[in-house]
Order: sequence, then structure tokens, then C-alpha cells
Amino acid sequence: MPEDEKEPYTLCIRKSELDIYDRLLAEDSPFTGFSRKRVFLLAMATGYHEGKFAEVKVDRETYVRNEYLDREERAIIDAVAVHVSGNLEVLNDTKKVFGIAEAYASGGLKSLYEQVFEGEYGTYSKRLEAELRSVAKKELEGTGSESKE
Amino acid sequence: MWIEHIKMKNYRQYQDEKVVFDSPKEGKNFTVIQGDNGSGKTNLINAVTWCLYGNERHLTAKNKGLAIYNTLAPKDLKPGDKLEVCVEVQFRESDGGRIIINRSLDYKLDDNKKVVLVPDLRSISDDHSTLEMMRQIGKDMKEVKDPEFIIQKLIPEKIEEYFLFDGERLDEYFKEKSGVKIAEAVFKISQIDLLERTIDHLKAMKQDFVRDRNDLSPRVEEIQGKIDALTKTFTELDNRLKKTVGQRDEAERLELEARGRISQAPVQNIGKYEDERGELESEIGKTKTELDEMKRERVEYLATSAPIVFTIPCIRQSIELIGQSEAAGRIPPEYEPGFVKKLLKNETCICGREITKNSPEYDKVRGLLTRASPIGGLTKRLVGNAGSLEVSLQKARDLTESVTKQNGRIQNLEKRIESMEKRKGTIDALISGCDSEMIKQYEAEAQEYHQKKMQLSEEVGKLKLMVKSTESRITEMEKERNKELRNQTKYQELVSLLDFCQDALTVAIAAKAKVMEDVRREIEEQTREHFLNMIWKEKTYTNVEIGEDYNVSVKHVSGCESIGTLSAGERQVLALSFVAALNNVSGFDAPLIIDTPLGRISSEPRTKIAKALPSCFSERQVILLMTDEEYTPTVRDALKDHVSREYSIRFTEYEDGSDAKVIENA
Repeated sequence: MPEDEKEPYTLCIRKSELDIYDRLLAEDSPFTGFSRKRVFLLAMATGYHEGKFAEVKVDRETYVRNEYLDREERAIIDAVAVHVSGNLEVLNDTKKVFGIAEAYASGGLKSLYEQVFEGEYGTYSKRLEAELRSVAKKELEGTGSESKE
Repeated sequence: MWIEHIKMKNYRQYQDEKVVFDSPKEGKNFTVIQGDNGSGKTNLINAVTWCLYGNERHLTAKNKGLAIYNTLAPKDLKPGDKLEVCVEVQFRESDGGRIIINRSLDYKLDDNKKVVLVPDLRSISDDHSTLEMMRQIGKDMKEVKDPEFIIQKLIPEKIEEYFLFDGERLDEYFKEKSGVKIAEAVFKISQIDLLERTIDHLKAMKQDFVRDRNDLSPRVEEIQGKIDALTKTFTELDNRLKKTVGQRDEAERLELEARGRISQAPVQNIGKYEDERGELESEIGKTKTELDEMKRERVEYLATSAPIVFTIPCIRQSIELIGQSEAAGRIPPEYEPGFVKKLLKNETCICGREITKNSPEYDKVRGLLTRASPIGGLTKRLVGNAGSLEVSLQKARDLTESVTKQNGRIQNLEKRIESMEKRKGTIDALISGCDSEMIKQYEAEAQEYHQKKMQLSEEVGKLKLMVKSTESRITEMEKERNKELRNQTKYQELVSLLDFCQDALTVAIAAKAKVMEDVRREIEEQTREHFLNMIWKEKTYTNVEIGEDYNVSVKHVSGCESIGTLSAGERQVLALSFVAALNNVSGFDAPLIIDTPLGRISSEPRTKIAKALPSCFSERQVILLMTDEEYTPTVRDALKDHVSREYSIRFTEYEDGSDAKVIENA
């Protein structure tokens, strides 16, 4: 965050997505008990991983306040924005940075929901684990591909 | 017993003399040896007492300072020559046997011509003289090894004074009333010293027995009481032990019965199975909760890791761009735009001077903004992001390992649950269809009896120890009691001995008293008879008595006591009567030698006494040593029928000594 900018900015979702988030945080969800930002960041990562980008321009609903993000989470949000923009200057525009995060979250939310609830019960974490192992192996051994955006 | 001869060699005034005596039989039992005062009569008695006892009892004051050897003897000696003093007395016993007693003392002349004693170191006599005795055994004369003992049997030294005495000193008995002296004489002559010693011995024994008895003081009854109490305790304990053993055996039997019933049931220890099952259920529940938690943690971990792993390209690119910017010097910037903007706003130069808007200086400062990097204001954020992203990358690298660990833990929990479920299933299959309540009841009974059996076994152990301990104590007490019983036996023996001792003491004391009394009475009777026979005042004195206190009483015809008014002659008659009585009562057949028997008697009574003497000392050898004044013609005439031999002592005095010869009268 630029030192001369007056925060707070917030991460927003579409109003229509609020039920999905609630459902993901419900008791029968593997994410029950999680914080909002955790599910938001997971949706963002899913969207980025699957190359699903859907800007949230209307019906915006504040979902995660900036101050709840820790340094590492904010750095990842910044990194996604830098990656999308191809430069560091984008970080001077927080609104844009958050907008990119919101767009990936919105893009990945549906997929996330489907993976959690529409697959066999209990399989989500296994599939996620397998995917993460695969991605990590690929990316960290230098065989990683570029963004799927 | 009588003296056959007395031989003296170098003894006092007798250089070499032998005086021969006849047997007192046939009424001639008197021998008279006549001599002047100082001629050597008394030394004849001394020769006999010295020979027998090693003691010259009748030494005169004159002789006491003189040597025992004859002072003429050394005259012809040369230095080194021996001088022997010797007295030999030969006795003839009533059975005809001879006894020869010889006492000698050796002297020698030393180089200075002085006579010195050569002591017999084996001698027990004070003067170191040598005593020898020969006694006739059959026809042979044999040496006696213990002559002193034999002499004491023949004429005890303590009563010697009543056989060998000075007549002039006899009256000292009766000068004053002297019951002690008379009693002493009666005591000695009675020979009851054996009884006296017996009494003393019995008294000493009695004291010893009393002391031993007091030391013993048996405690049999006290110990027996303790034994009885212990035996009672033992019986009680033994009964308790037997009862407890029975109870324990019964508990064991009941336990076995219960276990038997359990063993017949399809499933034993059903309670244990049910308990295990319950524990398994509980553990499965806990483990499942733990598994759920573990899975949730894994989901959370994966959900947290996903934004990192899926955006690894983004993270890498950001790190790379930040690195490049740093390398290109864009961050940090030369002039920090925020700082420049602040200067412009405050219209202040870097150096602190005021600058006004649109002034060349203001424009120059504003120109710095154009030279500032577009990311210059992000420096701090970028540096921070770079660090955070590096951390994220490391987390992505750790993912595989962390997830593997988590999965391992989850698998372990799942296996554990599976195992427990399996065990639970086995138990369910095992106990299904069993009457678990009945089996539980049997098990409870078995357990109850088992506990009871263990408690009773413990009690049995304690009781056995107590029984054994009590038994040991009884054995110890019995040993002590037996010891006390032995003491009691000894005690009773001591009491018996003490009783016997007391009885013996009583008898001995009574016997002593009786003997003393008998002797006293006999002496009294004979003294009276001799006195009244010899006394010339036949009508003056009527009686002589020796009282129980041993005081002698001479009764005057008037009935008065006359002992204090007797003349010297009368006292001597009384003494002669008393000594004659003592001699006769003593029972000793010893010869009598009386020095100056009539010394204190005037001429007329002397004849009467001389006439009476033979009747006083009949059948006993009597040797009278008399002066010419005593042995008057009338006395000689009175004694002539009883005198077997008469001797005269011829005394010769020289410048350096004297010599006496005993010459038998023709």
C-alpha cells in the first residue's frame, strides 16, 4: 500500500455470491469455522489456477476488509496483480490490485463450490492435496507454466 | 604308758646321763629323785617337755638366759667340731611296745671358738631342733614319720601341765576363786575340743547353708504361673488358628466353586470383556474426534497453502521484478517523491531555506519529482513483499513433507480406529448370547471369596507367628522353671541340711554340756575324796564342790565357804587332789612328774599327804622330784611300799659350767 494512499480499501464480491460463500462456511462444509478471507483467498487462487477471471463491477458487496489481511496474504494479492500487469507499478493502484483479486475470486468461486459440494463427500481435500502436490512439484522443479489467465 | 628311761647328753647340767625307771606295776609306781635346790630336778621335767614338745616349760629365771647345751662340753672341742644336745625318752606302752622319742640340737665350734647353732632346716620346731621317733611294731623298731602327731595322741600338749608340773605352783589355781582356770582345765581334760570344733564347724556350715538358701530363693511358682498363662494364650491362639484355617479353606472352596461355575459358562470373564468393550468405544470415539480434528487441520492447511501454491508463478515474478528494480536502482529512489512533495507543500528547500512558489528554487525542487521512480514510493512495501513471498515459497516447498506427515498421522489414527473396531467386533461376537449378568455375579462371588481367602491367609500367617512365638516363650519359661526346680531341689536339700545341721548342733552342744557336766561332777567327786583323804584337818572341812560355774568351794564344818582362808599347804593339797582327779578322769595313761610336790607342806601334814599320794595316783607312774626337806624319813617311810627306785642328783659346779649326775641310791 502506497504510503500516501488513504486506506481502507475492501475486497468485494458480488452480492449474488454471498450465499455461495455462506454455504462454503456452513457446518456441513469442510471450510466450516474458516474466516471469510481464507475462503476468499482460496476462491481467488482457484480462479487464478483455473484461469477464470470475472471482474466485479456491479452489485459489489464488501466481503473482506483490508486490515484483516496479514502481510503474507497481502503480498500474494500484490503478486497476482503484478503478474497480471507485468510490472510493479500496478501496486501504486490498490483499487486495481484488489480488483484483480476480486475478479479471480469471483471466477474461481463457482468451481470451488462444485469441487467441495458436488464431488463425492470427503474427496475435495484429497483432490486438492493431489493438485497442490502436482502444482508444487511442477512449479518448484522449474517446469511451471505461466499464468492461465 | 610309762617312762623306761630318760637319756640326756649335753643338755643343761646333764653332760651324759641316763635315768632308768621301773614299770609301775605291782604297786611300786613311784620313783623319787632327790636333789638340792638348783641341782637339776626341774630340768629333768624340762628335758621331758623339750623332748616331747620342743619347749622347756618349767625353766627357772636363772636358766632362761643360759644356753641349752652344757657349757662344759665345748671345752674339749676344736673349731669345726660338732656339739650335739640330745634328750631321749623311752616309753613303754601298756601293750608292751616301746616308743623312743629323741630330740637333738646341733651346734659347732666356729673359728672364733664360739658355739654356733647348726639349725635343722626341715624342723618345724621354733629352736630348729630335730625330732625323731621309733615305735615298736611287732619285734621291730620302726621310724615314725609324723612324731608330733603321735605325741599329741599320747600326751596332748594342752594337758601336759596336768602331768608334768611344779607342785609349788599348783595352789595358784585356788589362791582366788578362779572358775575360768578350773573350767579351762575341765574343758581341756574332757577332750571335748573335738566336740567344740564340731560345734564351730556346724555353726560355720549352718551359716553357709543359710547364705546358700537365701541366694537360691526359687521362683518356681511365679514362673509356673507365667507358663500357665502362656499355655492358655497358646491354646486360644491355636484354636483361633485352626478356626481361621478352616474359614480360609472354606473361602478357597467357595472361590473354586464360583470359578467352576464361571468355567462352565460359554464366555469367562465377561465383565472384563464388557469393560474392554466400553473402553474401546470410548477410545474409538476419542480417536475419531482426533481424526476429524486432524483432517480439519489438513483441510485448513491445504486451504491456506492453495493461494500460495497456485500463485507460485506470480510470487516468483514479483520476487524477480523486485530484485531487478533493486538492481536497477529504482528502489530505493534517489529522491523519495513523498519527501519532495512535502518540501514543495511547505515551501522549504532541502537545505531549510524558504522558497516561494514559482521561484527558480521552487521549480528546481519540483524538477526532482520528474527524476523520481514511479515505484519509488513502494520501496518499503516491495521489500516487505519480497520477504513475505520468500516465506510463502518456502511453505510451498515444505508442502509435500508436511502433508505427508499429516497423512501419516491420519492413517495411523485410521488404522488404530480400525483395529479397535475390529477388537470391539470380536468382543461383541463373543459375548452375544451370554447371560452376562449371571456370569458377572459368579465373577463377583469368586472375587469376594478370593479377597476373603487372602485376608484369612494373612491372618493365618500372623496367627502362626504368634503361636510359634508363644510356643518358644513357653519352652524358654519351662527351661527356666526346670532350672528353678533344680534350685528348689537344691533349696530343699539345703533346708534339710540346715535342719540336720541345727539338730547336730543342738546335739553337739548338749553333748558338750553333758560331757562337761559329767567330767565336772566326776572331778568334783574325786577331788573331794582325795582332799578329804589327804587333808590333815579331818574335822575342819566337810566338803569340796565344783559349781556349775566351775568355782571350787571348800566347805568348813560350820557350813561356811573356806576357799579364801585356806593355807598354802591346804591349797596345795586341794590342788593335788584336783590334779589327781583330772589325771584319773582324763583317761590318758600318762606318767606323772611332780616337781617339789610337798614344798609348801609343813612336816606333820607332809607325812599324811605322802601316805595318801599312792591312792591318788594308783597304777600310774609317778616321778617325784623332791628336796631333802621334802623327802624326810617319815615321808620316805610313808612312800616306801610304792617307790621302786630312789635317785639322788649329784651336782658339781665348775668355773665354766656345771655337771649333774643322777645316782641311784643304794
